[in-house]
Amino acid sequence: MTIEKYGQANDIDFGTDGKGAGAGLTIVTSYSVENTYATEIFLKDSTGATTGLIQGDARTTGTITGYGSGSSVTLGTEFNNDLGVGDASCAVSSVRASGSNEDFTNYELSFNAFAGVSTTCDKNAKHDIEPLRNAPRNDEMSELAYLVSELQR
Amino acid sequence: MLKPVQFRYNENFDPDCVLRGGFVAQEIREIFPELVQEIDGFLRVKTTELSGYVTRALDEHKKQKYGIRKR
Repeated sequence: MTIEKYGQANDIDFGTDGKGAGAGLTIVTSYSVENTYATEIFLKDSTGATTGLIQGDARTTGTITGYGSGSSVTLGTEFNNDLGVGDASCAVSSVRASGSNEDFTNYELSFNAFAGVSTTCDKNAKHDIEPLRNAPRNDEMSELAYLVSELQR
Repeated sequence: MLKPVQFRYNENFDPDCVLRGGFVAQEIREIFPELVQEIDGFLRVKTTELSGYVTRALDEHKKQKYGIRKR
């Protein structure tokens, strides 16, 4: 069995238009992550066969599905997602292709993050974290956030 | 630079999903690693210590803006 150590980073932004073939998914249809405490990630290809293993300290596992004109995302690829909550360093552990038309194929990509993150979200989750605007100042942390915000003006 | 944000915890952590102000712990960790600790897979910010940094920054800001100096 092949053992990979995280793979090579190639700065993929899922759901970003204009990346063209080979850059990941053009249209993201769902996105979910959840905590696990696995320390080994089995790599599975589009047929479901296990082809490799990543050894690491993964704490989060997740899935992105969407359409792309092609998926050059290889197993073990490290990418940065744009969720913005810390699970920025991930390794693709599974690529599954299902359903296609002339231009796009539906891909399901599973990934594992290296850093501890606790979040469950759907495709709109990236909107859950946004610049400070109207949160109530009802605890010490939010008060600090407003102070810093005022300092930066 | 720290980016103040607002967010809601997921329902597992806060069933009421209250809107909160704060920071992203991972971003604080990049700047002030000593202010963030990991407990059971969760990152926690040491609020009291962070408060000290912010207070000091606020004092510096006031000095620069209003020219207040110690005699």
